Amino acid sequence: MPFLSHRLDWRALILVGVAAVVIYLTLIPILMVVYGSFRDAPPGAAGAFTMRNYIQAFSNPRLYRAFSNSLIFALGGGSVAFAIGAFLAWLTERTNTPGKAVVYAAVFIEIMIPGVLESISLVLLFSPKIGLVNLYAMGLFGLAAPPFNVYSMGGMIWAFGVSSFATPFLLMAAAFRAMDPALEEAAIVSGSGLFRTIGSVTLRLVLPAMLAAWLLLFIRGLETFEEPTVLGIPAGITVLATEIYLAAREVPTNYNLAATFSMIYLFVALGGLGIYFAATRAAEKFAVITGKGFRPFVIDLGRWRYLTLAAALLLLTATLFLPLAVVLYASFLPWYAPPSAETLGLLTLDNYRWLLTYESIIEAFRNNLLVGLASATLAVLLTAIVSWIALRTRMPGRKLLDALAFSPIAYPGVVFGLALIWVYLTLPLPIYGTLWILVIGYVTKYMPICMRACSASLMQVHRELEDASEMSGASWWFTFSRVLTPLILPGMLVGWVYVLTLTFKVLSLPVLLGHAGTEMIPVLIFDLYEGGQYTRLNALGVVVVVLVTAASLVARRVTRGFGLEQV
Amino acid sequence: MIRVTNLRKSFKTQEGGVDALSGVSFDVKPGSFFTLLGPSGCGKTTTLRSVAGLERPDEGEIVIGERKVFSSAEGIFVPGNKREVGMVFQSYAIWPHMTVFKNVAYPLKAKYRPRAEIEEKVNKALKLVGLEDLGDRLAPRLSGGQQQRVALARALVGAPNVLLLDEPLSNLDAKLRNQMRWELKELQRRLGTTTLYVTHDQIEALAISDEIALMNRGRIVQRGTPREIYASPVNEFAADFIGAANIIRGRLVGQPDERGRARVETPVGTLVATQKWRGGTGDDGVLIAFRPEQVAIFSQGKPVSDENVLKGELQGLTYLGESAELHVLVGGQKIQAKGAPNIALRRGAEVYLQIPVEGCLVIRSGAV
Repeated sequence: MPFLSHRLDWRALILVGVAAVVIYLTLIPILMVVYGSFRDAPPGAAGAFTMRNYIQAFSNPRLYRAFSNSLIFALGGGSVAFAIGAFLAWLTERTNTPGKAVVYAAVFIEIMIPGVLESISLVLLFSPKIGLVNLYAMGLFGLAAPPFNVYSMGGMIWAFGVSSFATPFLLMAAAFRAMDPALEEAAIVSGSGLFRTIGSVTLRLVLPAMLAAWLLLFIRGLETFEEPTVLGIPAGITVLATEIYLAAREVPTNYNLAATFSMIYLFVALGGLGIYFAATRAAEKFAVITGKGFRPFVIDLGRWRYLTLAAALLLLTATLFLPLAVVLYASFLPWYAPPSAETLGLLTLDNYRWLLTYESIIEAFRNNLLVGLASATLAVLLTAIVSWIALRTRMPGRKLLDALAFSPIAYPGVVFGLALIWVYLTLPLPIYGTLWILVIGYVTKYMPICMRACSASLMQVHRELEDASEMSGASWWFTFSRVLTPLILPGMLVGWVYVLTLTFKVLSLPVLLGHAGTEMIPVLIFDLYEGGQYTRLNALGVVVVVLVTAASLVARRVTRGFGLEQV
Repeated sequence: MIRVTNLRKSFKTQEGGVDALSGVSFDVKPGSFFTLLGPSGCGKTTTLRSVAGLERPDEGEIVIGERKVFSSAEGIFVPGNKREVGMVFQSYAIWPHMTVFKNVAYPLKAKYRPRAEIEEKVNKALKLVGLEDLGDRLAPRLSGGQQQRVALARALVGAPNVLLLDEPLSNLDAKLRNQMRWELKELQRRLGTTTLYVTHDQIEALAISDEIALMNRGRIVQRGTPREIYASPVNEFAADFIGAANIIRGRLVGQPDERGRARVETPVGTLVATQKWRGGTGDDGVLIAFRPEQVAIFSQGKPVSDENVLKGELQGLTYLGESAELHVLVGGQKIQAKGAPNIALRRGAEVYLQIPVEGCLVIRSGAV
């Protein structure tokens, strides 16, 4: 397809415009962080260039502690999440353990719970003072001290593990499903026992997928903000993400030091991403996971399958059902207390009523909905065009554009929030303190997710479907809106709903950007937590989980309803 | 109606540039059915897509009707949506999210025609291809042949000057392909639309075309009517690609006589063959080509005349129902012959073959 005929047409204008927007969204914030880290004055104020921030950062033992804490947390949390996810995936995909549907439903719900709510639920269960599990254990076994302390590195790691096992579950389930059973059958036919086969063939074959899933979790562990904030800060354990947060939030605020920490953090995140890409590329070389549909080799566990079912249910109870139950329970209480005959009599809907009457809550919902809808729509439209440019044109620099649109995957949410503060306190644009700064943040941060959804759909649309439109005399925009968009709509919708739900769940990006009047739901949950309003925040959490789950279910139904048999 | 002059295009690959088109020129007379025929990768589709405006050549000129739509010298490139041509794609490219009616109406909607006109023209086009009852059907719920018709109706609905067809029949099964070939030719004759057709199927090309351009390696090897292309291949590639041919290497002996009969020395003996081109003297390496069905088979006794008679041993006989195919070994050379299905011969039997002079051609060696 020829790019740019000699006349300037709409198509060229749209494409160049989109490219400019992507460059603006992705490059400017990071450049501003670099800039900020070398300045001696806060954003927007006059100042001079300096190395002071770096000297200060590198001579501060907190940096090294935060760095090693980040690594320990990401390694530990990633491993716990991986172990839970992979074990459940193996049970459901490769053995005849009953209750598959329960596991899948649990994983689906797991994805719907905001991270901050998950961490708070663990506080309600394992806090030394108010944690139900601690109180019961002390009463039951006559212990003098609470056996668990959630405000610790171990607590953070556990919290990350239980809130992140959905990803490794889905990745490993796909890998187990896509594996050619003939390879395992061959091992068994040639006299290898069941356990030796699992060890020497099955594990070996899914090793690339395992590595990819584990590395992905490691990167997410480096990025995550919720667990270190809710559970780490009270214990004095900081990671890079929370150091940035504290530097930008605690009086006296130091945005320059926060920018310097962000630079270091960014390099760590980029390093993790580099390892991930290198490893997955190496893994492709001995990929046995083909696209072919196989009927996987299922191990008949006999009577043991009830034992594995019990193990799975126990695991899900500890990681999901119990936290959910405590959230639900607390949401009906006037104040938080362990269940007893007395508290059962106190159950009330007051917290939910309060949600409906409290102005800030309603405003946060309205903000969140507005910002979420706008961000999701803009992100999806933008990335649809970017993936079209990358896949269908020979526009010079299209690979770079593709890479830029994908680059926010490396920016941790807190870093991006800080970067936006730097940009909009420096540039003379009336965006800081409005909802627009949030929209800009979400659109940029979630571009990679939408890119994946859109380009995967676009790759399935035969090139000739577009050519046929051009030969029908249709303009580029006519083709894009009448042919391309309807055909990639399922993919776009998946990305759209996902972004919308993320805006209700993720704390790290809006936490630094929220001002009075522009608060988002996750920030509000966090604020309520800091204000000690546990029962009310749980009611809010329940409402959010229900809404997000409903939206996702509707989206699944709709995308399935498209039923495009031949695209 | 279409004039293509010296079209060149090279694609960049990892090993460097590869010439997809190296100087393609042809013109298509108004109302005629012109076919670009060749093996995959010969440049026929690139040529068609260049005429459509979906591909931009590096060099050359394309004129459709009176309008110059591409000229590298003058810097002209009219994009495909402004060329007013209809096109049918190999995959049909029927939009799966639209009904049959909407698919066909699309070219008119893209030009913002009034609704009444759209209604009338779409119904006319659907009637033309025999789909008037299926307008409300969703496109994916159609058979291959029906999708093909929708694609054709969509290409014709705007009454284009030129119709471009990119291997439109290749996804159909053999029987349906035969039928669609007839219908397509009939429709084209009725409408008189100038048609540029691309195929790799030589039988299809011979059956459907007014004129054929045989392509190989980005060049046109031979142009002519189906009869000319079949009966007088200009070189080894042409002889080999169009239908089955026996090709024997040989050497010209002296000059051809006034009737164009030349003597060629070959491993199976000296043959008298027809030379339709000038030049070439003794000792030039040439090829002899003749079609299996032109070989006369003598299963009992020798033929009367001994001109171009070959004696060989039957190596195999394949019964094909309407005919039988013989593989005969003559002086170390395998020769194919086609005869009546009732030939009763055994493997290893002695066979005489006679090749008529007019069916035996002297051609140049070489691929292009």
